[in-house]
Amino acid sequence: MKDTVDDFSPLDPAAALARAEEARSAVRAGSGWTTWYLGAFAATSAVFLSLTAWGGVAVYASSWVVYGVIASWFARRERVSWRGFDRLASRCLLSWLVLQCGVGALGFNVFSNDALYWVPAAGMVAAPLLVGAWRSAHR
Amino acid sequence: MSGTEASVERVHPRHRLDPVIHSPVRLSIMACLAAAERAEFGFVRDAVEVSDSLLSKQVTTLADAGYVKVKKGYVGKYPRTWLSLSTAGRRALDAHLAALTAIVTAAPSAAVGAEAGPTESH
Repeated sequence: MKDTVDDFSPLDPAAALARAEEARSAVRAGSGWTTWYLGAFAATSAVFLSLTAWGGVAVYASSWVVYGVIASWFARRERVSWRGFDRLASRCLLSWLVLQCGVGALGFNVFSNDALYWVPAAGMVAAPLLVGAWRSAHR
Repeated sequence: MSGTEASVERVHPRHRLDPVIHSPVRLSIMACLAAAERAEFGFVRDAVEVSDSLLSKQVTTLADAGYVKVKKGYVGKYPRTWLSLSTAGRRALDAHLAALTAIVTAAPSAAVGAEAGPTESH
């Protein structure tokens, strides 16, 4: 077999593996924002939904529009995300959306202005995002 | 065991090193991208500690080999280049790292490996 690589290799194998690990560590360090991103999303979701009892659907919807714009802008300007984050975030957001729709439909039709419904519901809706934040922190 | 299988087992793992990835800079770029969903050009430049021009040249080599995907876009009014590893690139990197590990550990079984496929076509 013809040698094609050892003539231009200034790096020994152990050093090459160490260097590869360094590069991976840089990605892990640079992806720390994903935990805060999902955690902040969970907290915002809980606060917005809790306030629905007082603000009503119009305030709730407009708050999400503002938050969505800010969150999208923030995520786009981040320079790196760890492998698998897109899938995790998609699953979390889908679960959150399903819960949000269910809780919202029930709440606006039956429990409007009832804080005893909206506050615990807010915690339940935020749960998938909190799980995502936890998984992002412990990847 | 056939003669072909026996000859594969005797092949030293260095023969499975990928010439495209073997450059220290390109290996670092690939390892960086392997851990990321995608990474911005500037992030990879800082992580690998190279200049813009050198990174650009090495990324072109990796992209030509089909190992790296390059996507250009904007964040606001600022242009951004995003890099990610292709499926072929991930396979090639795994095979290359396996070969390096086999060399380091020098385990007899490490020479068996063609599971990731040969990376030299010479």
